[in-house]
Order: sequence, then structure tokens, then C-alpha cells
Amino acid sequence: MATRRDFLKSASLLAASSAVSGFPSWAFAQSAGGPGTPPGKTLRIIGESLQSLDPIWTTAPPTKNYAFMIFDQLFAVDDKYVSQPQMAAGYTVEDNGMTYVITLRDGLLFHDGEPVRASDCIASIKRWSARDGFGRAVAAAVGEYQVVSDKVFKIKLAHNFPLLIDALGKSNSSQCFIMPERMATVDPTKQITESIGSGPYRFLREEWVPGSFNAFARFDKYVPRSEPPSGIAGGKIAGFERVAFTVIDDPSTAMSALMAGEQDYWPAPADDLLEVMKGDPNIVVSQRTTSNSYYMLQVNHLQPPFNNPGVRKALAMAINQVELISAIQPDPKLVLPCYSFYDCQSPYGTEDNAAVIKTADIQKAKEALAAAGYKGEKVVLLAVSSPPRLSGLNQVLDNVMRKLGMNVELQAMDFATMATRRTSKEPVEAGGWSGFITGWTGGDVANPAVNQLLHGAGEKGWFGWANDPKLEALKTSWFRSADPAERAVIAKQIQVQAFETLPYIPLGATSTYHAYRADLKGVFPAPVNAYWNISKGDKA
Amino acid sequence: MNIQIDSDLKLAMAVQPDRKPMGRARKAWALARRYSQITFGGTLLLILVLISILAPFLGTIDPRAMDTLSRLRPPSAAHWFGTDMLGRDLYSRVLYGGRNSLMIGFSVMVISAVIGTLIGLISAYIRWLDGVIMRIMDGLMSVPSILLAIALMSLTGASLTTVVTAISIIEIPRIARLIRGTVLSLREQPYVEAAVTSGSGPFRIIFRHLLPGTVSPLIIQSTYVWAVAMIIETMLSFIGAGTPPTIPSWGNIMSDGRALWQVKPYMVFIPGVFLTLTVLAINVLGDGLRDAFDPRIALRK
Amino acid sequence: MLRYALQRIIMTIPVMAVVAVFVFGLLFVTPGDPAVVIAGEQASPAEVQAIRVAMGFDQPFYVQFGLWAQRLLSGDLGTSVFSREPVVELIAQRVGPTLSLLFGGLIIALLLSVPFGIYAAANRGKLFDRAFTAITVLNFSIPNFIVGYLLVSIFALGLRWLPVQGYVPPDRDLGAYLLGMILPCLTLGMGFASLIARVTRASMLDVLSQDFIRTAKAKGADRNRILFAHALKNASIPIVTIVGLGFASLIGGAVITESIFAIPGLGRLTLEAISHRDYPVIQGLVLVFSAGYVLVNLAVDLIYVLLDPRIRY
Repeated sequence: MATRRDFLKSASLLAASSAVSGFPSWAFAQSAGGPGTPPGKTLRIIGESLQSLDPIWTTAPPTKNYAFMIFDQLFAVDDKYVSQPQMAAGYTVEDNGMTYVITLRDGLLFHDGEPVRASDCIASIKRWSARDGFGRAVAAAVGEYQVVSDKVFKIKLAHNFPLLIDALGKSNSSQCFIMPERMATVDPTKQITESIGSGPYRFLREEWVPGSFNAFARFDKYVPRSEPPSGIAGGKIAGFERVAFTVIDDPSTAMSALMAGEQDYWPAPADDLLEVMKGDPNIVVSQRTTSNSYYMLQVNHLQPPFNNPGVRKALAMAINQVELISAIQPDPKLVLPCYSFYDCQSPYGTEDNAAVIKTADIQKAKEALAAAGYKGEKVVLLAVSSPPRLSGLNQVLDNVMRKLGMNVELQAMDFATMATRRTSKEPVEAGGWSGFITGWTGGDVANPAVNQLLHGAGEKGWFGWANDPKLEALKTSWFRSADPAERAVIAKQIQVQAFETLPYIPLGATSTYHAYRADLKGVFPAPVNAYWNISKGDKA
Repeated sequence: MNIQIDSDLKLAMAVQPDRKPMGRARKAWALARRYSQITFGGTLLLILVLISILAPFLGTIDPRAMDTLSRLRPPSAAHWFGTDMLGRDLYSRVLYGGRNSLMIGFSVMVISAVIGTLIGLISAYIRWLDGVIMRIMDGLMSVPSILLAIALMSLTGASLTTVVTAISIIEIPRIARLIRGTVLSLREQPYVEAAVTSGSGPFRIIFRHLLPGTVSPLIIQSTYVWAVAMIIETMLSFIGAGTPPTIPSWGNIMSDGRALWQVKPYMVFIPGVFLTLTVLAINVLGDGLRDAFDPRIALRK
Repeated sequence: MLRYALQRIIMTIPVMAVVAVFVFGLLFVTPGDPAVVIAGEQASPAEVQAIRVAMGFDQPFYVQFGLWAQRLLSGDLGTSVFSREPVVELIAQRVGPTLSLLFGGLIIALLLSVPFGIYAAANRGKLFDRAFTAITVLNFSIPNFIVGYLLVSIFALGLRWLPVQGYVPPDRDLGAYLLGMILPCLTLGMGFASLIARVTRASMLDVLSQDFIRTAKAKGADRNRILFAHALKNASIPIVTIVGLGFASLIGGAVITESIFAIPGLGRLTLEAISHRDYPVIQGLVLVFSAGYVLVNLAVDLIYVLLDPRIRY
């Protein structure tokens, strides 16, 4: 089979010039993989535009995918979200939990041949903890870092921080990736431009066309762990020699490319096209990602009408999560209402005090709205026009608000404009805003540490500026508590309080399928787009 | 085509000199046949405009009404054109969308005609401003129109007004150039020179002598602008920089359906047919007007 | 003539300067700067501001523009805010595909339109001519992305003759490059073809009715010779004019075509740069487009000279 294909490949170059009909589609499939690549050696993925090479500087998803290819982590969460050693061989805890001693595995090398040293790890942790939310909590808790030897280092805490290893191994952005010291000492508000990591793949810089194409080659000197992959932990074996990401904006073109065999993997298929692909025996549609997408309505607590808790509650009563999410998710199995301020897949995801958002009754909501004293104040909804899920949700919410009798104006804009407009604390007549919808992954709302919207810090906190000192006090005590059982209780109390004051309104969740050619094997469930362990199956 | 029919007519009339004089109806019909392009284009356009204006009476419901549990249904008795991805009735959206699309095109046409004429007149009449104005017009035309419109839309946010403004800015330079060129050549005409030497004020010269000469090229070009504006709005909506999603227009209905054209082709196809027919009607009308006003073709007649 | 060409190029520098200031100003007042996009969804205002200051976006308009202009004069178009790649390289990577698309589209448009336009003019009033008129108007009225989708469904998905998407550089695989360009160039060129076809026909009709053609006929010259040697040459000027004028609108069509067929061209680069507020890239692109417009106009004027010896500069 392979020999015949190779022969045909050279003949095809001649045949192509004479525009022969019935030209086999696999000939185009090859070209997408790169020069001289025989079929089967390249994993061709329909990707998104890779612009920045710095996963600490930006949280853009394509940069995250890139980072997981070329970088590795000290610790990584498994499929139970428990942090496991990855680059670390193991760790010990001394001084009553105030000192962590971390030892590196043998044979860890960067792509330029240099061994991974403790100093690289420390510099990387410092850079990460300067920007990331959870990381900053780590930075606030750390007293000093100490290099013991090339393979061993210590983290000495200034105050108790039992979640240190969880933070280092987390899978949601931004993750703590280990880079060479020279890269990690670059100011975190400036971009690194080198692409040297210690992960299973290395970046092919010369082939990168920003916004259009990027490719990776297997790093032969990578030493994987011996365990099977679980979550983002375990052994990372590079199943393909090459991995190529091509940007295809048009969803129908992407589907056609996948079905024609011009591409192998589509990690973000358009929801309404899945029916077609499910019917194709050459394509597998599977729910690979273990992390759901959560949608939230962030309201402005500084301006009317949402500075009035009664109005916030009335709106919450009008929202029907099932109807809302059904508007953007055609598969009923993936319509996942979540009546919690946390990730419903995490142990904190309970429904305590959630009655207000389970009401889903426009009539009752109207009465509550009148009772709260709403007098027709204008509501401005900052609606991003892409991605399609957010755009759809915005329009449905606009519809709900109108049915509720609110004086709502939906203003469509792109992300950059929305991100700028939402900084305004002015009234809507002066360019302010009343609400916007945002979507985060489950990992981003799993607990009070990472969920930035769940706060009461007023103008010092995230957009919306909810002012709730009681909530803030509960958050602080959650951070300080060393006992997981006690933390669970406090988390519940936080949620009970949140449903009283509604810093934001949870809108429900959904998930995403991945679509890929049936001849791939080794695709495992993971909270991020992980492309190790995948290789070409025998059904070629 | 017109020439053939017309000469046949003349021949027929010449051969039968003692035929009954033509009644009004027959005269109208003969006129319609003679100016067949204007008739065809004009009638089709009129039908489409009427459909849009009468949308509320043609069995439509609120185009924004959502029924999220009946997304993407194919055409049926309940929904003549099917539903879109938020469960909105496509028939209503297409008809109301027609209003918006036609209005956008028409507004752009009027605005660019008025402002373009103004600029063209000023440029042709006031010599020292001419150079500056034409450089600016050149500059505007050198930036690809689509990209200029996208940038403007990002600046001001999406709404009907901004879409109309953005597309008008693209079309104004073309009309300005046309008017300027026409006025410049008209100025050389003896009757204008006579008016100048006889001491007529500038306004009189402009309104009585120059403007009338610009009317026919302006009308012709303007009809094309109507069509082009609708196409540009469609292209802008297609890349997501056009009419906001809450306001239906043929462009953004097609843009909504873009990802699904292989599974639900009617979402792109139906508004596409409406748009094509409208642009067709306007183009044929424009061709007819051009042929009617063109002195050389009239001579051949 | 060389002097004329140089003169023209120099004269357009002030135009491009005006465009540069205008676009920079436009970007400046547009809400959203690269800092918010960089900082991302989850960033706090303090973080955004830190990035803004670190990258110099908090400076007033004239400072930022001044810095950019200064760099430009020393031949440096700057680097992308996001990828840190030099703007010149980003554009250079994308120029090939877009030029392939534009010229391919133009060639296809000319191939489809000129012969038919000539034939229609030569057979005025007959069935071919009437069908020609109807088809060209219809073709012009159909939005080009619908044409694109139809072509893909027939030739790429249905018959499997051509690829669905993608671009292969000609130096890597000439055959795949040509095959991959057929559908996109057709999509881009078809609407333009209608326009050129109608102008060809009208222009040919005009020329054919003139005296010198009647003289040639009377002298017994062969019909084809009349059509091509005499008539076409004189009719070409309006055709060339319309090609020149239409080139700018081809770019709009190219943006859509690049999006449908996933071609890594300048159109897509511009869309992305605008949505990211990647100022240096946008500025660089605007300059490139202005320069392109100037060159196309110049080429058109120089072609006039070739076609009509009476025209001299």
C-alpha cells in the first residue's frame, strides 16, 4: 500500500499539470502536511490563529495549545483533577507544610539540548505567578525560593498555602509551564519570542505563518513518564512525527476538508454540522474534553438598574437556563444547566440557595421587577458578535429582557471594543454599560480561588464591581483554611451568600464535541486540547 | 435589442400609413416594449419594494421572536421559509430584512448622490480647492473599500446608521469624480460661457446651467450605487462587520446561515435569490436608463 | 516615459501620507487597543494598563504616529504587536497567495469575458447576444460567495476534481498550486467577468460602427481580421480602464474568497489585524494597498500608450 502510494505520488506531479479528472483527494491531503511528507506521518489539525508565543503574556487559546505542545509542567492534574508529578520526580513537605522540596526527574532536556535545572523551574514559577490569578495567590504566600542542586529546589512559604501543588499543576489558564531561565526572566508584561521548551514536540519556527499555519516536529530526546495519560498527567508520547495546524475560518469549509481527508482533526466543530459528520463512517465525533464551558451574565453594580439587588433577582428569575443553552446547543445531551456559582462537575457544584435562578418564570419575574421598583431605566448589553455561541446567547438574553419588560438595547461590537467599553464606570448615557455575557471553562470557576467573577471587592475587583464585604471575608477564610472539609463548608457559605446578592448570574453550561478521522487512535479524554498519545491507527 | 424592435416598429408604421391612430393603451404598450429594460427592471424592483413595504400584511410575525426549541427547521406550513438557529421565522426575517437591505441601499444612494454632487461641483467650480479635494478622494479610493468599511464599523460599532455611513463614504468619491468630470466638460459649453460673460451669478450658473446637465449621468450612476451598496452590505455582513444581528437584512441572514449551507442551504439560498433579483432589477433598470439617455443610441433610434 | 512613470510615483507620496495619517487617526480613536486584546478576557483593568504602558500605547497620538513615521523613513515597518514578527515578513508571506488570487481571477475574468463580448458584438441582436446580455447581468447580480459555495459543492465535494481549501506555494508543488487556485480564482473572477464582458461588447459595438471599419469591409478584408486586428485594438481602452477601476473592488472580493477557501492572503491578515487592533500591521497593510492602487493605475496608463499611439505623456 505504502509503496504504491509513493509511486503514485511522484506520478501525480506530472498528472496534475494535465488536469486529469477523478484526481484522488489524498494527493491534496499530502500537500497540507508539508514538503515531502508521506501520508500518515503528519497529524493535520484545523486550528485557530496562533499569534503570540508566550502563554504567560496572553491567555489566547491557540497559544495555550502551542504551549502544551512544546512545554512541560512540574505537576499536572490527572482526570480527577488531582495534581500529579510530571517533570517533578516527587516532592516532600517539611516544617508543618511551610516548606516544599521538589526533585526533578532524570534526563529532562530543553529543545536546544540544555538540561532542565532547578533555576529554570524557579524562574518559570516566578514569571507565571506574576500574572495568573491563582499564581498571584501563590506569589503572595511564598517567602523565598531556594536552589538546593541542579535537580532539587525548595519553596519556603511565608504563610500557609495548602493549594500550592494544585496551583502548579492546574490545567486552566494560565498554566505554570517550565521554560529556560533566560526566557523566564523576561518581564511578564513583555512577550518572549523564543520557542524553546522541554515538551514532547518542538516548534518549527521557520514554517510559522502567523494567523494561518504552524507546525511542530517530534522531540526525539523527550523522556515521557511511564504511566498512561490521564488528564494532562502521565506519559506524553509523541505519536506523530509532525503536527500541523492550519487555520480554516469558514466552518463549512473546515467540515468539507475533514470529510475529504484534507485534514485529520477538528477540535472546535460548529455544533450544527455535527449531525452530518456523525453520519460519515470515516469520522468520529466524541466528547473528548472533560471541561465544560460556563456562561455568565456579568452585571454592573455601580449603575442603575442593576445596582438594585431586587432587579438582579428579578432578571435571574426570568432566565430559563435550559431554553437559553438550547438556543446555542442543538444536542439536548449537551445542554447542561448549572445552578451553582461553581463548576457543576466539581464537588463544590451544589444547588444551595439556588431557588432564584431555578424559577424560570417570566410572570413571577415581572412581578418581582415591579416590586423592586424598576422604572424603565435603560439597560445596555455589550454584545460581542463572535464567537457564535456568545453572539447567540446575547440575542436570546436580549429577547428575555424584552419579554420581562426591560428597556434593553443590545449593542453589537467586537471583543476589543467590548473589553474597552466594560472598563467604564459611567452611566449608560455616557457610554457605560449594564451587562455583558462571558464564557469560561469549568476549571476557571471550580473554586473561589480561580473564579474572578465571584467577588465582593467592589471597585477593586473584576468588572461589575460587586460590593459585598461578607462575601470577601468568606473568601479570605477559604484561602486560609488548611482543612479540605472546612473549605467545602466555607465554599457552600460563599455560594449561599452569592445567591443573596448575585455578583453575577450563572447562565448554564454546555460542552464541545471533537471531530476527527476514524483512522486516528489514542485520543484520550482531557481538559485541554492535548495532541500527544495520538497516532495513526491500522485502519488507514 | 431595443434598436431592432424600434426599427421594426417604425417600418411597420411607415408601411401602413393609413392605419388607425394608436389608442393610449397601445401607445403605452409600445412605449413599454421600446424601453423594455426600464419596464422589466422597474417593474421587478417595484414588486420587491412593495413586498418589503407591505411586509406586516403578508403573513409575517415579529422577525425578532425566538423559539429556541424549534431551531433550524426546514420550510413547512408553519414556517414558509423555515427557521434560523435561534428559532426565528425566516419568512418574516427575509421580508423585513428586505426593508432594511433596500433602505440601506437607497439611503447610501441618496447620501452619496447629494454629497458627491456637492463635492464634485465645488471641486469643478473652485479651481484652487480642486487639487486638494481630488487628492483626498484619491486617497479614499486607494484604500480597499471593504477594509475601510470594516475599520469604520469597528470604530463606531454596528448599527444601521453606521453601516449606511461606512458604505456612503466608499461611494462618494466615485460620484464626486463623475460630477466633477461632467461639470468640467459642461463649463466649456458656449451657453455657459455666455452666461458667465453676461454676468450671471455663480448660483444661477450652477443651478440653471450646470446642474441640469449632470442629472442624467447622476441618475444612471446612482441606480448602480443602489445595487453596489446592497452588495457591499452583504459582503460586510458576511465577514461579520455589517448590520448588527438584531436587525435582519439579507446580508446578515445569509451570514448566519453561512456555516450551514451544506445542511440547510435554504438559509443562504432564499435571501440570496431575493438579493440577486433586486440587484438584477436595479442593473437592468440602470442599463435601460443609460440607453434612454445616451444621445448616440437615441440617434440610432 | 520613464520620467513620467517616476513623476507619477512621486506625486502619489502625499496621497499615501494623507491615507497613513487618516488610518492611524482612525485606529487611535477606535475603542480598544492591542493592550486589551493581549490581556485577554480574564484580565483586570490594572493588568491591561500595565501592558498598555509597557508597550507605549498610552502615549498621545502624535508621539505614537511620530515614532511610526520615523521608523518608516528608515525602512522599518515595525513588528506585529502580537507575534513580534516583522510586519514586512508578515506581509511578504501573504502577498504571494493574494497576488495569485487577484491575477488568476483577472486572467479568468478576461478569458471568460473578452471572447464572448467580441462574439456578442459581432452578432448583435441574434440569439447569442440576447442570451449573453441576460447571463452577464444575472451573473453580476449573484453574490460571489454563493458562486463560491456552488462551485465547491459541485467540483470539490461532488466530483472530487479539486481540493476544498488550502494553498500550496508553486515552488513546493506546481500542480497542486494550480489545481488549488482554480476554484478560488473562478469565484473571484466570475462577477468581474460580467462587467468586463459588457464593456467589451459595448466598446466593440462602438468601434464596429465607425467609418474605418466600413471601409475595411468594403475593401473586402477578412471578417476575423477586422474583428481582431482593427476593432479590438481600438476597443481595448475602455476595457483596460474598467479593469483598472475594478481592481480595487477585486480586493473586497478577495477577502471573502480567502475566507471561504482558507487561503493565507492579505485579506485575512487585514481582518485579523483589525480585530486585534494590531496597529503596526494595519498601517503596513494600508501602505501596501495604497502602493498597489498607485501601481495599478500607473500600469493602466502605460498600457494606454501601447494601445493608442496618439496618447503621449
